[in-house]
Amino acid sequence: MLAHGRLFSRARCAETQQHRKAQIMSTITKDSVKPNLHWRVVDIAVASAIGVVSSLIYWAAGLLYNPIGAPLAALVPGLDGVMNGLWLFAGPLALIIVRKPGAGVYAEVVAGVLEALLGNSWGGLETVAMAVLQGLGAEIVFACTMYKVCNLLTTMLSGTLAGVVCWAWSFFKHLQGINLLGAYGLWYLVSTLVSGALIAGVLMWYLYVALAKTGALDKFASGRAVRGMSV
Amino acid sequence: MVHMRTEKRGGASIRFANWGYRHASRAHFAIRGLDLDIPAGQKVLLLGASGIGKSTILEAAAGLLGTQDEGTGAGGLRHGESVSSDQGTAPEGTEGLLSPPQEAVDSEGGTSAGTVEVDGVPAAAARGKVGLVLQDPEAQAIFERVGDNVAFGPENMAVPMDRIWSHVRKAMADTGLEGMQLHRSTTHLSGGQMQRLALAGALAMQPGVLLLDEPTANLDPDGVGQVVASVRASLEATGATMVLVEHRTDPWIDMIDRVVVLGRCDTDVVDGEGELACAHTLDAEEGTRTCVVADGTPDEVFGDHGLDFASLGIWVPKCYRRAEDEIRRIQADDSRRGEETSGTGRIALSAVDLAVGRRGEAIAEHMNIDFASGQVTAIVGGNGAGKSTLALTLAGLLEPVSGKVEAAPALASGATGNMPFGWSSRQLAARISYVFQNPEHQFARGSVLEEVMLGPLRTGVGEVQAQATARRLLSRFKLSQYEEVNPYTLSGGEKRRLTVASALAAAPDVVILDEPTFGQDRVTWMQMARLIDSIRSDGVCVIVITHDLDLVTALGARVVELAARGSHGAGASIVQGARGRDIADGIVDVSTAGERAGTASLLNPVDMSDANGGMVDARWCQVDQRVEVSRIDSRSEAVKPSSRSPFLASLNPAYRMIGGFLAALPLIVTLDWVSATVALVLEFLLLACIGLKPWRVVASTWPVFIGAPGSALAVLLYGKSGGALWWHWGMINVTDRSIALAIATGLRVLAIGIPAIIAVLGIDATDLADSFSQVLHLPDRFVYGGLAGMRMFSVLRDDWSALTASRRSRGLGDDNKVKAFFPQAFALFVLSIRRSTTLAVAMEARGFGAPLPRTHARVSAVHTRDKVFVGVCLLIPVIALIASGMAGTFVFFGG
Repeated sequence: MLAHGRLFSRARCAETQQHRKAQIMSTITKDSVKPNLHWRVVDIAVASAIGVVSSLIYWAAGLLYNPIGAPLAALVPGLDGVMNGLWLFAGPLALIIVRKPGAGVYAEVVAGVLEALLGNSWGGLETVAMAVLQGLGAEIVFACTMYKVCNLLTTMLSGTLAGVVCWAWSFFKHLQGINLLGAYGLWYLVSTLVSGALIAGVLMWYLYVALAKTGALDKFASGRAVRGMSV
Repeated sequence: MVHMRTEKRGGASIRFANWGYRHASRAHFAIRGLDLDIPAGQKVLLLGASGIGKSTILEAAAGLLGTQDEGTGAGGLRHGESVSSDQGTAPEGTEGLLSPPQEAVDSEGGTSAGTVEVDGVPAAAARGKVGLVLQDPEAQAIFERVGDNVAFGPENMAVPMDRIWSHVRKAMADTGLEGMQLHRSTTHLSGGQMQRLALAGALAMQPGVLLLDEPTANLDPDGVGQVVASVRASLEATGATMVLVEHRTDPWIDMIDRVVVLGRCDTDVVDGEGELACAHTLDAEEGTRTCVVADGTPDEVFGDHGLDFASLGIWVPKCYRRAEDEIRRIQADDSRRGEETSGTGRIALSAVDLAVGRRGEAIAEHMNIDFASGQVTAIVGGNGAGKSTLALTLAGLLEPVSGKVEAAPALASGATGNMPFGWSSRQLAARISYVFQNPEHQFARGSVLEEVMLGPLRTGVGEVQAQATARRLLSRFKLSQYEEVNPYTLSGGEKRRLTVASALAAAPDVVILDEPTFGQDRVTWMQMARLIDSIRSDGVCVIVITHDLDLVTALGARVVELAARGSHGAGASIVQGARGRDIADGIVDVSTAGERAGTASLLNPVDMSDANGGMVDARWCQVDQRVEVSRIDSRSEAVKPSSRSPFLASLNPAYRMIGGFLAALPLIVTLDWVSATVALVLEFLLLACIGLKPWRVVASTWPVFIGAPGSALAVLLYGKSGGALWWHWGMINVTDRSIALAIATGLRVLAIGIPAIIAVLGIDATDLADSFSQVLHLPDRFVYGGLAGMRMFSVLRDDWSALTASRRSRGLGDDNKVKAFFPQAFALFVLSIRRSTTLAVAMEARGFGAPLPRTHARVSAVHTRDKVFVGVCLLIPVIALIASGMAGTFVFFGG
C-alpha cells in the first residue's frame, strides 16, 4: 500500500513538474477565463509589503548611486541612467504578483510615501509624485490586457514604460537645461529604458518566479501557477 | 439555530457540520467530515500534532477561510449555498464515493466542504462575533500606537466614535493594560505585553467567541503568566466561548471544560514523517486525514490510558502526566554521558568581562562565562533580557560593547586572532555556527542539498566531499527525501532540522541555537532534543538560548540566566539582595549544581540558600549563573511632535502635503535664476517665521544640497549652448547659456526640494492615513492596508540585520557587497510577503476588509489655519513667477 502510494505520487510529481516547466516557459496566465479583479485584504497587504521592501531597497540602492553612477557618467555622459531601473521595480513586481488594477500605482505610492516620510535625497513629496507617475507607467501595459496577460514580455514592457516616465520626469524636473535630442539626452533616454526593461522588467519576472517557488505566493493565482497547483 | 445557553451572557456557540478544507498547495483535504458542536460559554482545548490543521479550524471558525470575496469572478460559492460536488476542483485520487454536501473553491484556491456556523450564522457572516489571537505578537500589531491597535476592531465594526474609546478602555482593563499610555509605541512593549495587546484588540470587538492560536508559544514564563491571567479575567468578565490551541497547556488546564484531541485516521499510509514529497507539494497527509480521536473533559481525556499522547505529538499537562509522559534526561549511550554540564573540561570559548548590546548601548555587563567542548549551556531569561544579543556576540556576529569574547587556542588556530568578531566570514563558518530562531533568516540556496553543502564549500571543502557530507547529514536528520526541494517549502519542524544540519555541515566546534524548540509539538520537539544531544556527544560545544524548561532537563544542560533588573519574583529578590550586598559589577553567581556549589557559596552564601529554598529551583532546575540586565519595557513616553515647527505640527497632514506640492511644483514651468531665487528667499523667510531657522532648514534638507550641484553640473557640461564658448572637450560644451541654465537648475532644485521635504518631514504615518481617509476620502482598505504595511518597515530592518548576520555566520559575508546584496534582498522579499500574509489574517480577524461602512476612532480635523497655509504656499511660486516675468527672465520649460 505504502509503496504503491509513493509510486503514484512520484509519477504524478514528475508529470506535474514537466507541465509546470512548460507553463513557466510559456505564458503563465492562461489559467482562468475571468481573472478576479477584486482586491482581497491579502492582496492589499502583500502589495504594501512589496512597496515597503522596495523603499528599503531604493534607499540602499541610493548608496550605490555615487560609487557606481558617477564613474559611468564620467565614461559616457548620460550612461548613469542605467541605474534608474533600481528605483522603478515596485510597480511591475506588484502587478505580476497581485494582478489587480492599480497594483502598480499602489505599491509605488506606498514606497514613495514611506520614502517621503523618512526623508531621502530626492526630496520628500517629489518621490510621491514620481511614484504615482511611474506606477501609472508600469500599469498601462497590464491595463491594456485587462490584467489577463502576464508574462516576461508584458513585464518587460511595463518596466520600460516606467523608465519612460522616469526619464520624462528627470527632464522636466532638473534637466530642462539639457537638449533632449543631444548626445547626453539620448544616452540618458536609452540607458534609462534599457535599465527599466532589464531591472524593473526581466529581473522582476525571475524574482517573481523565484518567490513563487518558495511557496510564499500560494495565496495568489500567480504563485500557484508557478508551483503547478490547481488555480 | 441556538444551542444550549449557559448562565453567562455574551458567549456564542460554534458548530462544524461535516466540514472540511483542502489548501491550494495540497492534493488532499487536510480535514474532512469534521463534526464539532461547541456550546456557548464552553472553554475548549484543541490538541494535536503540528500540521494537523488546528490553525485551519480556528481560521474557519473566525470566518477567514473558504469564503468568497464579494464581486468575485472566479466562480466560487458561498457557504450555505447548496451545490453539487463537481463544482470543486477536487483532484483525482480523493475519495469520491461519498459526495460531500457542499464544496466551494475560494479565492485562495482552497476548497471547503460542509458548514461552520457561529450562533447559527455562517462564520464568514459572523465576523466580529469571533476574536482571534495568533501566535506571533509582532504580526498582530497593525498600528504604531497602542490605543489605535485596540480601536481597530471596533472601527471595522462601525462602532460610533464616542463609544469606541470606552470599548478600548474596557478591553485594556480586562487584559491588565489599564494605565498604559494610548499613544505609546508598540515597539517598546515586551512580548507578553504585545500579546495582551492583541488580546485586548480582539476583546474590544466584544466577541462571543475567543479563538487563541498558540498565544503563548513565543513568550517567556513571565509573559505566559500575563497572558493566561488576562484571558482568564476577560473570560470571567464576558462569559465568552474559548477555543485554545496550544502545545504547552499547564498554565491553562484549570480553566478548560473540554479537550478535543485531533489525530490522523482512515489511513492507508501511516507515516508520521511524511515520506512523500515532490517539488511542489509536500503531501505528508497522503492517504490520511485529520479526525477527532478523543473528546471529553480534561479528566476523561488525559485519564484515558488507551491514548498514546507521545505519538500524537501531544504534551500532557503536568498534573496528568504518567511516568511515560515525563520529560527526562535523554538516555543516550555514549561515552560522554555525565559530561553535559561540565563538558570535556576543554574550554572552547570564553566571555571575559563581556558587555553586550546593540548600537554601543550595553544591556548586560561584566559577564565572565566559559563554554567547554561537549557541554550544553542553556542561556535562559525573560523576553528582551538580551539572550540573543549575548549569543550573537559569542558567535562573532555582533561586536562586544566592552570586554571580549575569547576563542581558545584550539578553536582559534588558523584564524586571524582569537576574537571571533575579528574573523573573516569563512573563518567563522568553520568554527562557530549560529542557528537562527527563524529558519527563513538563514536560507541561502534553492535546494535542501545545496543548502547543506554551502558550509563545506565556503570553508574550502571540495564539491564531492561537500556533497557526501551533506548527504550524510541529511540522512541523519531524516531529510534525504527532500534533497531537491526548495528549503522554504518545508514544514516548520523540517526547516528547523535543516538549519541545524547546515550549521553542522561546516564541522564547527561551537554551535549556538536560538530557541530551537519553540512552538513544536512533542514529536518534533523530541527529534530536536535528541539531535542537540547527539551534537554534544560528538564533542561540540553547544549553547542554547531557550525558555523551555523541559529542554534544559532533557539535555541536562548547564544554565546561565540573564535576569532583568527590577523584575519581580524570587529571581529578582536574589539579584537585588546581592546588589546591596557586594557585587558592584552586577553579576551574581548563584549555583545549585554540585560541582559549582563550592565556588558559589564562597562568593555569596546567603544567595545560595535563597536559591535553594526559593522559586528559582522550581523554575530552572538549576541556575549556574545569573547575569543582571536592564529592562526595556517600563517607561513613559512623551507625545512626539510631528514637526520641529509647532505651526506645521498643528496642521492637518493632507493639507501639509497639498501645501508642499503647491509651493514646489509650479516652479517647473520656467527655468531661470530669478524665479528660483525669489522662491528660495521667500521659503527661508516663511520657514523662519514659523520657527525653523535657516541652519535648521539646511540640516533637515541636506540631501537636496548634495543633489542640486550634481544636476547643475550635468547642465553646465552638457546643457543647451549659446553665447560665448568657455570650454569644449568631447561632448562637453560650457557656454554662457549653459552656465546660466546650470545656476538656474541648481537654485530651482533647492527651491522645489526644500518645501517638498519640510512640509512632510516628521508626519506621523497614522495621522497621515487618517487624513487620507477622512479629508481626501481615499478608500480605507488601501489607506489602512498601506499603513499596516509601513509599520513592518522597522521589523524588516531588523530582518535585514539578521540576514546580514546569518550570511556572515554561513561563510557568505566576505563577498563583494553588490554581489551579496541581491540574494539578501530576495530573502527579505520572502520574509516580507510571509509577514504581510499573516498580517492580512490578523486584520481580517478584526473585521477589516468587509465592504461595510466603518467608523474612525480618531478625528482628522481641518482648521482655518490649514487653508491659510495652503494659500500662502501657493503664493510662493505665484510671486516667484511674476517676478521672473517682470524681470524678463521667464523661460517656458527652459526654452
